[in-house]
Amino acid sequence: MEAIVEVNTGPPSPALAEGVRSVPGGKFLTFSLDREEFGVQILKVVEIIGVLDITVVPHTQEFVRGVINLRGKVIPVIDLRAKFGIPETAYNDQTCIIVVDVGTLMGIVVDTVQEVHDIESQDIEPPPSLGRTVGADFILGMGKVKDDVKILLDIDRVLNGDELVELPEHVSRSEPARA
Amino acid sequence: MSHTEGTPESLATLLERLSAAAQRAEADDLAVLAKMHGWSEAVGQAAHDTGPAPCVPVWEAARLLTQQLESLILGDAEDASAMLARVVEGVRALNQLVGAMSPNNCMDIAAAAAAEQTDESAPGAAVFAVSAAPEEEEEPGHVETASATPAEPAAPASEPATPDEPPYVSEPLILNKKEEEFLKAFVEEAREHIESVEASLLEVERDPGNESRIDDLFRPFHTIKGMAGFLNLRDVNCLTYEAETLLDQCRKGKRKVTAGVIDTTFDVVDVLRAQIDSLAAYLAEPIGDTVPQPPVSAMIGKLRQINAFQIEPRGRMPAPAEPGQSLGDALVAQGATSREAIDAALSAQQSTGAGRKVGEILIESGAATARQVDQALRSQAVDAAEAAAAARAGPVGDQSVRIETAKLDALVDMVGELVIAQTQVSANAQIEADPKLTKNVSQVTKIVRDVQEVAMAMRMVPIGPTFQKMARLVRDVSRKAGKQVNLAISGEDTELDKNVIQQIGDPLVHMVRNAVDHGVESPAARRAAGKPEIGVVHLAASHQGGNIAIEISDDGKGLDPAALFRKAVEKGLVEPDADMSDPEIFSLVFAPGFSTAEKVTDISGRGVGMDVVKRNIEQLRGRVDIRSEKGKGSSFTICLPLTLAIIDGMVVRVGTERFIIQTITIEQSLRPVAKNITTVQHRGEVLNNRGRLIPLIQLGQLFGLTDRIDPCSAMVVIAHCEGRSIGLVVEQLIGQQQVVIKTLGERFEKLRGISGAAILGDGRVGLILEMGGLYAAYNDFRIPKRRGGLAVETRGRDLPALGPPDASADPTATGAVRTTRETVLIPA
Repeated sequence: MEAIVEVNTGPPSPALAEGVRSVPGGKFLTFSLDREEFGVQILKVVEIIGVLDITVVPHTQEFVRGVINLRGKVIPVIDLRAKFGIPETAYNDQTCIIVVDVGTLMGIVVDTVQEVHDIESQDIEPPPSLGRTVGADFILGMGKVKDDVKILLDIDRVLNGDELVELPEHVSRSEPARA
Repeated sequence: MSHTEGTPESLATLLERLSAAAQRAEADDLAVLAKMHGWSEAVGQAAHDTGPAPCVPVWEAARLLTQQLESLILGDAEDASAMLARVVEGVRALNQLVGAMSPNNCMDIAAAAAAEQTDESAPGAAVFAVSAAPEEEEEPGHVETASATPAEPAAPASEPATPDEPPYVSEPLILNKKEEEFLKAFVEEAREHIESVEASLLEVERDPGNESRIDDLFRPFHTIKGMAGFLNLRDVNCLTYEAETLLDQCRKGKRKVTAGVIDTTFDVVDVLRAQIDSLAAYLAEPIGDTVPQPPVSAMIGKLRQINAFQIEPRGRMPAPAEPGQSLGDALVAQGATSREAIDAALSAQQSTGAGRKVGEILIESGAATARQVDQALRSQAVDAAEAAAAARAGPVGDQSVRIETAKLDALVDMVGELVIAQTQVSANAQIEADPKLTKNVSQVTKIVRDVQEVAMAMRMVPIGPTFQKMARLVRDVSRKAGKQVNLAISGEDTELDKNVIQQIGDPLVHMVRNAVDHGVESPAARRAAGKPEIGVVHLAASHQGGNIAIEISDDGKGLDPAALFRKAVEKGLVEPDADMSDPEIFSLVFAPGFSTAEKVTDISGRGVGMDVVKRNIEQLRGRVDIRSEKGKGSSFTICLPLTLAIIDGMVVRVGTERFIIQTITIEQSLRPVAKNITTVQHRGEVLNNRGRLIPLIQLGQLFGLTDRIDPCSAMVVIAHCEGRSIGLVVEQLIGQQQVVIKTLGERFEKLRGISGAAILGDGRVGLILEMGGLYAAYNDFRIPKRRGGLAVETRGRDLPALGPPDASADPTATGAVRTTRETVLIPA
C-alpha cells in the first residue's frame, strides 16, 4: 500500500500551523473510497440513498456528477473520487449517495457506507503533513477507531471550496495547449 | 373652533354607560368589561378629536382606564377586585373631568397636567391620575401620578394659535416588545395610507377643485396620527397632527389648495415614509435600544408656522438640477463619503469648470465608488418602487384576510410537490391495467389540478398599485428634467404572481425613468416637431396567451438605429461592418456599459441600468421586446410567464438527457431539408427558414453529450433570443408539458444556457434551457473573436469538425466569414 500521490498540497494547513488543534469529538459516519476510509460528522448527514439516475449538467467541473431529484428537490451530486483525484470506477450496488447539509443540500457519491462511530476528541489527531490523497485543508483530523484510522473530513470545505460551474476560462481537460 | 366630533353630548352618553356598567360590573364579567373597554376607547378617541387641542388629561385618563380594563379582561391583573375598584374610581374621575371640559378649561387642564408630568408608574399599580385643576379637588381616594408616558403624544403646545411655543424636540424612541404585533400592523397600514395620500395628491394636483379628494388627503393622516399616538410614536404622531391640521384647513375652506400646499404635503409624506421605514427596519432587525428616527423637527416647525399663517407653503419650481449639491448630500447620508470630500469635489468642479460631474470627480479621486454614486443618484429621485411592502392581500375590506407571505409560499411549494408526485403516479403504466384504479387516479389528477390553480391564484396580485407608484416617479423625474410628461395607465386589474410584482418593480422604474428622461423630448423640441407639449408615457398590462405583457411606451423621439449602432461600434461591442437588423440593434441597449446619453444626467443614463434590467427580467424567465420609430416614440414590452413556479415547456431529448425549452420562446419546430442548410466557415451551420438565416446550435456538442447531430434526420427548434432567432438541434421532441421549476441553487448561478431544472414525469431531472446564455455559450465555444477583430482563435474542446469537412478550412484565417444578417456579438 504505497502512499498515493498527494494532490492539493497548497500552503501549509492551518491546522498544523496552530499546533495541536483539538477537534470536538462526536459521532461520525464512516464510508470508504478506494481502500481509504473517511468520516463525516453525523450532524451534517441528512440521509443516505442508493445511487440513482443522475442528470448531467453541462459545463460543470469534472467532479460534479450532476443533479438528482431528492423527493422533489433538485440537489447537486459530487463525486469525491474525482474531487480527490482518485481514479474513477464503475458504480455498483454498494455505491451510495450521502446527502449532507453544508448550507445547502448536496450529495456525495461514495463506494460503501459503513457505520456510525463515536470518536472522542482525544482520539482525533491532527492530519499528517505528507503523503495522503487528500489535501490537508479538507481534513479535520485523523480519528482512531480501535485499530483503524479514519480520515475525518471537513465536509463544508470539501464541498463549498470550489466553483461547480466551469467558467469559459477554466476549460481544461481537452484544452489545446495554447492559452 | 368647531366641535363637530366628540361633542359633550356624545361623550356624556358614553360616560353614562360607563358609569352604569361600572356599578354593576364583576371582575370576571367579560362581556360587560368588554363593552366598557369599547366605550372607554371611544371616550379617548372623542377627547382626541375635540377641538384643535386634544384634551390631554381626559385622553390620558381614558387611555389608562382602557388599559386597566384590558388587563382585567385578559386576566393579567394581579388582584382582579382591586383593579376593578380602580376602574370604578377611574370612571367616576373621568366623569368629573369631562364635566369640567370646555375649550378654555381644556387648555388649562392641559397646561397644568404638563407641568405635573412625572414618570409613569408600573401598569399594575397605576392609580388613576388627576390633574391639579381646581375643580378636581373634591376627588376622593386618589393619588396623582403622571398620566402619560414620557413620550407624550400631543404636546399641549401644538395649538396653531400660539406660534411661539418651544420648537419640537424629538425624544429617543424605545419600543415596547409587547406591542410588536401592533407596530408591525401599524407599519403596513401606514404604508398603505401613505400610498393613498400620494395618489390623492396627484389627483388633486390635476384637479384642485375636487372636494372629495381633499377629504381623502385628510383622513389617512388623521388615522395615522391616532394609531401613532396609541403606540407612543411621538414623532409620527406630531408630524401627522400638523399635517392633518394643514389639510383640515383646506377641507374646511380656510385655505386654498395651492401648489405650495401640495408640494409641502409631498415633503411631509417623504419624511413620514422615512420614519416608517426606519421603524420597519428596526422591527425587522433591532440594533441598539432605540429606534433610529429621521429628523422631523424642521418639518414640524415649518408646518406649525404654515398652520399659523405665519408663512406661506412654497411650491417648488422644476428647478434645473443641482446635481453636485444633492448628490453630495445623498452620498454623505449613505455614509459613502465625508462632507469634506464632497466639499473638495465641489470646489474642484467649480475650479476646473467644464461641467464635470461631481460624481465623476468623486469616483476619480476614490472618495466614492461608482456604485455608491449610482446608488446616491438613484436615491435622489424618489424611488417609488421600493420593495418594502409585504404582499398585500388584495382589496382591503371584510372580504380579505391578511396572510403572512411565508405561509403562502409554503403552501404553494407543497402544491408544487403535489403536482410532481401526482404526475409521477399518473405516468405509471401499471395504472392502466386496472380500470378502477385508472378512474381514481384521473379523479385525483383533476382535483390536484384544481388545487394547483387555486394556489397559484392566491399569489396573484393586481399590478395596479405598482403602476400607480410610477405616477409620482414620472412627476418628479419630469419636473427635474424640465419636461412635461403625463403617465397613462391601462390594464391595472391584470394580476401577476406577487413575487413577480416585487421583482418587476425595479426594472419598471428604470424603464419609466428612461422613457421620461431620454425618450420624451423637451417641450420646445416637441413643439418644433409638431407634437403636443405634454408627452405621454403609457404603462399597459395584459394577458397574452399564458403570459403577461407589460408595455412601457412613450411618444418621444424614439430610438435611432444609426446612433445606437455608432455607439456600439465605439464601445467595441460590434464590428463596424456587422449587418444587424433594427431589432438586433435595439437589443444593444441592454449591453453592459452602453448608454447613448451624451450627458450623463443625474437621473439615469449611467449605463448601469439596462443590463441589470435585462438580467432581472431574465431571472423572471421573461424577455423584453423593443419596438421603436425614430421621431415617433418607443415601446418596450416585457413578456413574463404567469407564475415563477410553473412553466409551459417543450421537452426534447439530446443523447440520453432531456431538456426543456420554454414554450414562450419557441417560434416553430421543424425537420429541415438539406438544401436549406448551409455551412459557414468557422460558424457551423445555418438554416434558411423562409428567407431568414438562422444559426444552428448543436446542443449535443455544446454540452459534450453527443457528436454532431444531422439536423435533417432530427429536429430543429427555432427560438427567440434577444431580437434574433436561433435554431436548436435536438434528437427528438418528446412533448409539451407543464413542469414545476426547481432552482439549481446558487452554486450553479454562473451556468450559461441553463436556467433551472424540472422534475419530469418519470422522476428524472430535466434541465431548462435559457436562450440568451445558450447563444453566448455557442459564440464562445465556436470562435470567440478578439476585440479589434483581427485574428481568430479556436478554443474549447477538440471535437470533430462541425459541419461537413471543408478542405480549405484554415483555423488561423484572419477575419471571420460572415453571411448576411449574421452578427458577431462579443459575449459580455
